[in-house]
Amino acid sequence: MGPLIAQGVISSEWNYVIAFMIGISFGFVLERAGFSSSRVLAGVFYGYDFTVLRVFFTAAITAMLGLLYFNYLGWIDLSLIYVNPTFLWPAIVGGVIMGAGFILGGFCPGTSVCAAAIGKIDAMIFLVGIFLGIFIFAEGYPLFKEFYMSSNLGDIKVFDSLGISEGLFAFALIVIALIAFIVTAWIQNRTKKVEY
Amino acid sequence: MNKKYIFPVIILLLLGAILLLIPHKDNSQKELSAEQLLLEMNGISRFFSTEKVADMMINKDPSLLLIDVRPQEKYKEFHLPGAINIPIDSFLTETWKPYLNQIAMNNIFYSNGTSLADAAWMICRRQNFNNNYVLEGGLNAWVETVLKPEKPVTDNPSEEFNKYQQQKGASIFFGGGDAGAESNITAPVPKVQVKKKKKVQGGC
Repeated sequence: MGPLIAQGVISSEWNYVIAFMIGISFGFVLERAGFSSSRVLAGVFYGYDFTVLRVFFTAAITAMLGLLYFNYLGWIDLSLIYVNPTFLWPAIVGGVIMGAGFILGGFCPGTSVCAAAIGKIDAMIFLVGIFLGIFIFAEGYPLFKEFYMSSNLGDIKVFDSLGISEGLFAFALIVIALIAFIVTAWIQNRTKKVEY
Repeated sequence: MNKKYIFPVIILLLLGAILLLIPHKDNSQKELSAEQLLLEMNGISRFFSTEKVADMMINKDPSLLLIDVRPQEKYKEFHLPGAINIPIDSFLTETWKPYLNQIAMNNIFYSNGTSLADAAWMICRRQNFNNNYVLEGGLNAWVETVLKPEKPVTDNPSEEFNKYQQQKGASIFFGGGDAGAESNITAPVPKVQVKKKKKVQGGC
């Protein structure tokens, strides 16, 4: 029964090998899906390309359905799945900074590495920016620490916060995803095509 | 909407609708199965020999935590250096849980013999706590092998004599010869990290 590593079915030494292979595959798929192009990525903000939204929303609902069905069939222990703890205000501020960086640079952290790997100079400069940001954050950590650790809500889940069942939330999310796909397709059709 | 998307959309909606109907299931294994417990009970992997523990104590092994599971009065009369006292009847209290359910230390339970420590080990295993062990032979074996080791007879193999020499060394270290006296070597009781269940980490 999964998760395989947390349950000790796969040893922690293999953990890194598997993570490496998944990482390489993830990078490959990102590149093949066109995510190494900052024009595709930035398109979501300007309305001419919603590939990012479609891919990530599809990935999210696929993973969600997989986990919920695996749980129902007794193949996975969901209590062992790592849930990122929510630090509400730091997450909002972090999201705004990350979003601004995304619009300015045209990449998110994962895709920038992917694009740098195929030799895109703008991605390499973006990476320098990432490391600069990491350095500033690490050096300034004592200043940020209090805010960074504030409003910790623990590893909460959306359906718990809303007080609904996970099945209802899953269904609602699928409907929202489908509506988002239709609406974005409509917007894309009405936006001036960008050649790249 | 393009016709080629109709089929995937129906599949997605159907999968979502089924989730609405099926009940929530909790697969977390909070307790060890009886079969697994029996299997582990018949094995010897839970035992730490007295020599091994003595060696760890002499070398100040930071991962060692001795836990005396006898009643408090017995603990006050005599206990191993550095040992803490968790009487077996308070094993299920929240106070001691962080000591028993953790990943940082090797807890070694001891009692006079082995049975009480074995029972303590079983309570922990039943709750799926790891890193708990039993001092083989308990304090009786401790006195016999560490504090008052018996000199091997002359026709014994040389390994026995080597072992005896080591035991004698340990005996001197622990102030042997008087099993009833409290040893003057005291190790600070180590701080134990509360176990946070290991989870698979991930992120974008």
